[in-house]
Amino acid sequence: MGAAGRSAVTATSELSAHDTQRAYARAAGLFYLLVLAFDIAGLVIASSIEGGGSFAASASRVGASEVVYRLGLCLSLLGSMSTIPLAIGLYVTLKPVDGNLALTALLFRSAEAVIGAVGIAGAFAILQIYLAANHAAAFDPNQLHALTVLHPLAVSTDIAAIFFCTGSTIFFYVFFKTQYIPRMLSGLGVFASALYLAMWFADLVAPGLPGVVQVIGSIPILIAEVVTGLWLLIKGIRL
Amino acid sequence: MVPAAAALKMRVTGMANLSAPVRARITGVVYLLFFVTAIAGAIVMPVAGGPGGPSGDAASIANSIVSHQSAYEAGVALGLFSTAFYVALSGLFYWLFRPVSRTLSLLAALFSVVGCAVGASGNLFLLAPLEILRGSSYARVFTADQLQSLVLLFINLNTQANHVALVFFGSFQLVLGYLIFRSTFLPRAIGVLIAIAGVGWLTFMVPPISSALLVYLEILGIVAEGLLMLWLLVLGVNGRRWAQLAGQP
Repeated sequence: MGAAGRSAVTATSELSAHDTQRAYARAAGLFYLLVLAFDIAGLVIASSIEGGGSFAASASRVGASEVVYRLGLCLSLLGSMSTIPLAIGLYVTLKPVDGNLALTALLFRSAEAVIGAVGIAGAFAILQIYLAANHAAAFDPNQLHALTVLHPLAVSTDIAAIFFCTGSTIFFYVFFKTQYIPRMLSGLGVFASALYLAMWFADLVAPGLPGVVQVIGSIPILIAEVVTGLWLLIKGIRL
Repeated sequence: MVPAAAALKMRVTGMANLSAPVRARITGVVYLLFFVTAIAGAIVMPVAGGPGGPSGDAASIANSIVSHQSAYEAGVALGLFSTAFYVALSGLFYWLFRPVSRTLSLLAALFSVVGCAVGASGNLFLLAPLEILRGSSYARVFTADQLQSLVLLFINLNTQANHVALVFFGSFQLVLGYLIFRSTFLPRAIGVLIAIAGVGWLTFMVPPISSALLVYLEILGIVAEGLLMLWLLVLGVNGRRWAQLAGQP
């Protein structure tokens, strides 16, 4: 094969590699949005049914809307599952930039999926406690309430969030090293992920952060994820 | 280089140079070890820990654990061994199907490893009843009824973790089935069967469907995976086609 032929083959394979990278970036954009949609919908459904008030009132509402409550938990499970294709999409997109960092972020997001899934298994078990409260059980309602509150899996959200933030910070940092997406967006992603990480660590050290702190900590990451998802899905990456 | 290091390097190089059919047979052996430990664990376990969940009331479950404590511990240990074999299997499948699609193989491996991790976490919940029923000082503040209910709660937690793990395994098998179908070095029919079994495990997201179909899902799962295991163990893979896909001479 002559030099011209070789350079044509090289150019074709580079084009194909870039096409693959672009396709995975778009898939990552889609899964960014899907993960958010599943997680938020799951959380809203479950918490709106549990609501406030006494444990007996929550148990009664959960018992009356068991199917919808289960649907909420299934949506959370779908969110946890969708984290894996999202992480793979980001990994394939960013591997050519820094393979080691992209792999590290992939592993952090996979660990997030594991911890999140274990937490969902715990949530299904807590559903059994809610349902037991509506029938004769060995525990009185106060004891059942204590079981749901003291359950070690309640903290799984905090732990999963910490793994999420670490993986997200690394992915956004690798984006920041490139021009794939606007640097302002990747910079916002790094800042928002680090801020969210600090918030969850603070919640572990001093539980019960004021609502306003939680809102301030959550809004930047929400904006960064939605905008990055839409950007990757619609505009793709600039190679 | 010291002799031991040289010997280790030779052994590592030797492993890397194994042909695809030999590696496929090693995969089959690990698959067999998974089946043996998983089935043995289910047989010795005095409390049903499968997808169907425990049967009987809290008192009878607690009594079974107390009266068959060694068998219970052996069941938990065998369950952990079977999970470890499945983690190894995930890595072996990743290598085997990498020439078909590197990214999809990675996706399948991650789904499988996450499923294994969730399943292993579920096994932790099986250890809690032993602590509760051992008569520790803190356990004396509960009545016998309450202790038995706590035991049932932890057993149920294990069942829920298994259900969640099965959803991840379902996704794994769906991707694996597709990879087998595309591979050309394994029969397409096995790929279709594995993918259908994967869809079956995904129904665990909707418990009424999975409960109604449980027996069929278990049979389908065992047949599909058993067939794949036997094929890999006895016939391996078509080495020439695997090498073509891998771009090897």
